Amino acid sequence: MICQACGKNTATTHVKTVRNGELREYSLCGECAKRLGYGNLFAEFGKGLGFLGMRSPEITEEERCACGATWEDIVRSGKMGCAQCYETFYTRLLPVVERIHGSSRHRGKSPEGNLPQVAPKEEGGLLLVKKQQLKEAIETENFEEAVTLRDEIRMLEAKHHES
Amino acid sequence: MNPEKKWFAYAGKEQDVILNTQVFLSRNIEGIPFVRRLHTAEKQEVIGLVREVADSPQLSLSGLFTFISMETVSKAQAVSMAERGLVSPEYIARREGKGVLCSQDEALSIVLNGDDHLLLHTNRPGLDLEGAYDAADRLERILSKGLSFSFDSRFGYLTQNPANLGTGMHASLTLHLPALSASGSVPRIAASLSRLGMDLREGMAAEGEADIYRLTNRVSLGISEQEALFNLKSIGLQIVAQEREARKAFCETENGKDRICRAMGTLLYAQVLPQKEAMELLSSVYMGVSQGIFAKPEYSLLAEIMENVQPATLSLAVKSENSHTLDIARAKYIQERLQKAEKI
Repeated sequence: MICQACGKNTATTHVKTVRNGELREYSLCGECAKRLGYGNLFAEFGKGLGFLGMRSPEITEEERCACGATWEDIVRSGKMGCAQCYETFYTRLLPVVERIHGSSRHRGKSPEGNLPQVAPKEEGGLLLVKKQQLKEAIETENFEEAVTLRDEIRMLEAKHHES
Repeated sequence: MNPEKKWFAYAGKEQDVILNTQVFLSRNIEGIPFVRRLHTAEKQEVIGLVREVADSPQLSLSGLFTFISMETVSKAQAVSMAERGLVSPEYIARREGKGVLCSQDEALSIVLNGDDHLLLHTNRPGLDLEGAYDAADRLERILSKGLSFSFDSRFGYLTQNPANLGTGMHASLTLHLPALSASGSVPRIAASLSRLGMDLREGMAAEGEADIYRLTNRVSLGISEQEALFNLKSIGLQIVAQEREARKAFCETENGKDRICRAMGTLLYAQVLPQKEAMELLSSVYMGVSQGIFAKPEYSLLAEIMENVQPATLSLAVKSENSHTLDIARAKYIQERLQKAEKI
């Protein structure tokens, strides 16, 4: 089946939408799915480790979480099986989570409810921009600029934590 | 149509560009596998647990919600719920073990067994991230007195899709961008925002025809709720400013004014209006109101009209699924509402 968005690549994802009072299903290729916001994040980031020349953690036999999910299941469906999966597959998940969010450390509220919220200040928006500039500097191999930005970001974050 | 006043019938801030604000909080109950691994009976158990807490006289939610079972609503009702943004199209594709707890004004709802056990959803007219988040947060705190949510100190609130980890919060602003759309600027803006962890996407099918987009924070881990809301608001307001500039330029041309005035003319007098055309015309009129070309109708009325003319929603009110009948009903409804507004 050919992707209904670009008409070129093979369709791998099926997305639902509502049109003319009906539920419709559209078939999309990986690229178009990602572009329109329907990507499978594991397919994008989970399998790519090999290409980056990074060693995947050694897998001797197929690990299975208490809920029955295997890493294979997770990558194929793009969905975790249960809360325990995050522990069971922690090592393999960490880089995927980092790629999706640019971070792997929670900084929001917790069930105890009284964790202080990181209050945004002027630096909040500035930090976002600086982080973006850092990424671009790295991508364009402008490493001197990247080092300067990294130091600036560290200072801003230190100020954040003090308050 | 629906006589009770819904959340979008009220006025909001920056409503010339920001139609509404939504906040979504994803949560899962501790000790129960994620939705994908549950059989229908287990899903129904999850529904039972949440309903028990929602109906509990000890907590203050009693009487606030009505339960809509996806297993018993008709196909048109399910599609209408997706049209109104209560649930996603994906959600209504399979209906066993699913249901929604919904407040009467639809400003507050809990969607059960979609991507996660619970998806708390709040709606506010115009720009109101603080209000929408506050309501969602309060609801979450009350629910957490009766339910234990899966949480990890490293990954935050645990969700089926790792894209929702951390705060489990996705906030979004629904934006009307006819002028930026007309100038072809939106893809460029969307690309730069994507690098900042924000997504700017075209609204669902019919909304796309009315130049409606959604701005959402994509990143939820490594950032606090307040930070994410703050960033979304700053960027949202920047887009608002850009759209307003573009509109001024657009409406200064005779062609621009003509498009807007013709749209009002057609809406006031047409006898048959297909959905696509109606949405395009409503979009132009909405812009006309924002530029002072028309003194009426109010944004809230236009929002109400846009919602009620959606095909499945309209078919429920008119009790017909024949598309020609609907097109006639649509034209008549719009005419009545607009002409009434003119007289006030």
